[in-house]
Amino acid sequence: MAEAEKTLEIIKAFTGDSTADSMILMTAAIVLIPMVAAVLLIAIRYIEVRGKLQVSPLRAAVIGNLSILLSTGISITVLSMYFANYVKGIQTPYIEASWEFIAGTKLEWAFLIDPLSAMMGALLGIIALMIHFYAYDYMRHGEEEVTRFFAFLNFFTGSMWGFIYAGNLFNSLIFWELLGVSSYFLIGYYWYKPSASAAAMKAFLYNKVGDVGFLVGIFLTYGKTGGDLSYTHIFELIHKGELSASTLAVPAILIFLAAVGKSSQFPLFGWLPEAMEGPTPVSALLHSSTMVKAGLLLLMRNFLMLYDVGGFEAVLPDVSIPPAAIITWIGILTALLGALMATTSTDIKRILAFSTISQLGYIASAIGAGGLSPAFFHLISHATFKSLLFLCAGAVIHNLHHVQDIREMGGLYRHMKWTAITMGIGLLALAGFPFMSGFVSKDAVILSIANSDIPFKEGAQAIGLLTAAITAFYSTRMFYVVFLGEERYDKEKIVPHASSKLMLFPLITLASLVVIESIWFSIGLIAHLAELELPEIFLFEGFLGNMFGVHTPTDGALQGIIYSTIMVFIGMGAAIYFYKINPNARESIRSSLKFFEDFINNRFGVDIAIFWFVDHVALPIGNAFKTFDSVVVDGLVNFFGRTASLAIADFSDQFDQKVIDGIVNGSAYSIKYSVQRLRKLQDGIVGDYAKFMILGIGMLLLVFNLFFGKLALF
Amino acid sequence: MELEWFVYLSLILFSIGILGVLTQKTAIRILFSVELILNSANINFVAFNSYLQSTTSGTVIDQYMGWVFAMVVIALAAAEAAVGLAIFISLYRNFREIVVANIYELAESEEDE
Repeated sequence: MAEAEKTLEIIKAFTGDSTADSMILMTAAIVLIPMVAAVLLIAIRYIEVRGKLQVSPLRAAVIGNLSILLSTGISITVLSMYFANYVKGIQTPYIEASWEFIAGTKLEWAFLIDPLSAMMGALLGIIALMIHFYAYDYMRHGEEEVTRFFAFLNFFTGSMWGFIYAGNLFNSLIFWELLGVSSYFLIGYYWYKPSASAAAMKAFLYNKVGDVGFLVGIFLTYGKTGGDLSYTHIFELIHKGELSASTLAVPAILIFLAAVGKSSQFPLFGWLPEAMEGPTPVSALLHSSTMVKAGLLLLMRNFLMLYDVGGFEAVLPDVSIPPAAIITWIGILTALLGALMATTSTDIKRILAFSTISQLGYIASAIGAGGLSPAFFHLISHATFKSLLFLCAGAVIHNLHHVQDIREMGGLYRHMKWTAITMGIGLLALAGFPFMSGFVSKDAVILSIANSDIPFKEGAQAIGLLTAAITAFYSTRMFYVVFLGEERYDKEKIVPHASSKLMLFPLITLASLVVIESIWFSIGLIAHLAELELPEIFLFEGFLGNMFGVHTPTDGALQGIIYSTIMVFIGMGAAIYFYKINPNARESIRSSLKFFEDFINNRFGVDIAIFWFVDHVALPIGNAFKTFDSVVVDGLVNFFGRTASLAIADFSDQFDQKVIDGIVNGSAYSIKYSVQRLRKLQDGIVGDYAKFMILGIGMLLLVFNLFFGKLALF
Repeated sequence: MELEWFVYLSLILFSIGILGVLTQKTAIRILFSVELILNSANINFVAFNSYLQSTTSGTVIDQYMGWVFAMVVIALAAAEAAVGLAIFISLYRNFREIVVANIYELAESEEDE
């Protein structure tokens, strides 16, 4: 692999580089098109609710799909333009453009195109397109609100693209929150079901904990970078040595807290299984393959804050820097716990949700171990096979009229062959069957942990391998229980049939994508082991490492492959033994480990602990503040309100009565008094009137004479 | 003759008339005094007419303007006397006297507070 030093190269758009200009404008279009479609669909929905119009599900689906198709096309174009024009050797420049958001501040709308955003944008596009395509057939039966569904799905996809292409922390936060909101809407899509609305609320609140961390982290970063939150500016500062990971440790941990919330890491993973209350396409798109990756993407975006980096050279986390080690350990713990929960779960979607938690833990641990390229590697392969798995699960659920319990399935292989085959491919990739995409990327993740400098890395590696075995176990179990064995569903009500072609198209597309990835990655793996000289594009992990400028040592790669192959076969063998060959042994082990199963089913008491914390710590504190507010603050306010305002009111009353009324009454009285005197002059004697008249004329003449000399008669 | 003599005469007559109006008790005498006032005005009209004739050259109409006014005032005085005497007769029928100081029907009544 190339060991040349990577330099920091930033290309500002709209300063002469027309290709960069058009790429930035294209990213803006990618974000805006689904948003506009979402607004349009919501407007249509509004008219529908008013009863003026009824839009057929097909038309809504066409609007939703067309916008995603358009954006996906543009995102792939951006990806190819970026790699065709800018990637030279290991040099990958950052292309950015920003528009002022609040005048006079550095808060800006910023777009950033680098290998991470370009690749992730195209990946999101392909998966979102498949899922949108699938969603029409899944949602059209019996659901009248397809318009609303596609509006939110488009809104989500636009937000995710906005998050991917965001050029600074501020923009990331905005789209991060939009993701949270769209997730809330989509989990609570069946709002009339209490469980769905509770799940939406739970997801939203769990995410909020992370969001608060993110916000505080941004504030701290804002202070340290002089008010400029753009990623390129932070990178420049770190590159010049003006900022280092040790000064950014606290913001980095807070940003990791955000990732813990959004990517459902160890303490806050409880919302993801509940999020399966949403329709299955939503689970496939948001809660497995893309949205939950946002947190990890944020960590990758800010990886320079996590490690002490001397320039852009090969990076290894320093033991003295806590964030990286914390991330690795929380990640690997999440991986283990998620896998354990998946083994005991009986809901087909929840198994996949727990498996998602587990795989996200793997990715997070790789990020912590400095293996940015293994992390993104695993992210890509997981996004592909997990969306495939969810769509397959959706097809099964759809077929069985919304039965989700795997104990009521079984023997479906002979009814829905293609679904079973595609799901089998996905499960093989998930299980890490040798030379499937999941195998290669998971191996890279475990290898990056093994080669890192974090404390007790051997322990982390062992947990990673153990989790690989458990993953293989629950994947095999799921396939066996759902598709093989006896038919346990209600045969009188349910007649399974092959999935429709509209549903099968995305399944087969994604399955072939998984196969292509597997072949591609396996070539890279074999070439690496055999030290073959191949074009760089085949050495996918090394290629990613070059893109990010982060190289993980690959010592002991062969050893790692042998270990994980053994673990996978142990897991699969155990599943086959306990479910096919000797189910009685399974039952006896289950009864002897009943307490452990209960412990797992209670999610290791994490949710209980969180609820206990909320009930016994957070709420009493809140209540104390509430009491303080209602007693002390309200008391003070009321006291001052009563006494002061009453005093003022009394004073003004007195003033009104005494002074104002006094003036009015006094003048009236004096006029009345003088008039009573003056009226005596009205004596009715004509002579007296004449006297007054003469007197008045005389006085007028006198006045004129004195003051207006010209009119004088004398 | 100087103009001022006529003005003095007019002034004296006017003053006598005013004094008469203010002091006399009976309506007839007050009417007489009013006649005096009117006639003092007539003297002024005629005197100023001839004065202005001697100092400026006026048109034919200007030449008789003062006289015309004097005639109008005399006619007015006659009409006034006729109306006034009619009022006095009516007054006498109602009050059996024409001493105006004793007639104060329009006075503010004391009890009307």
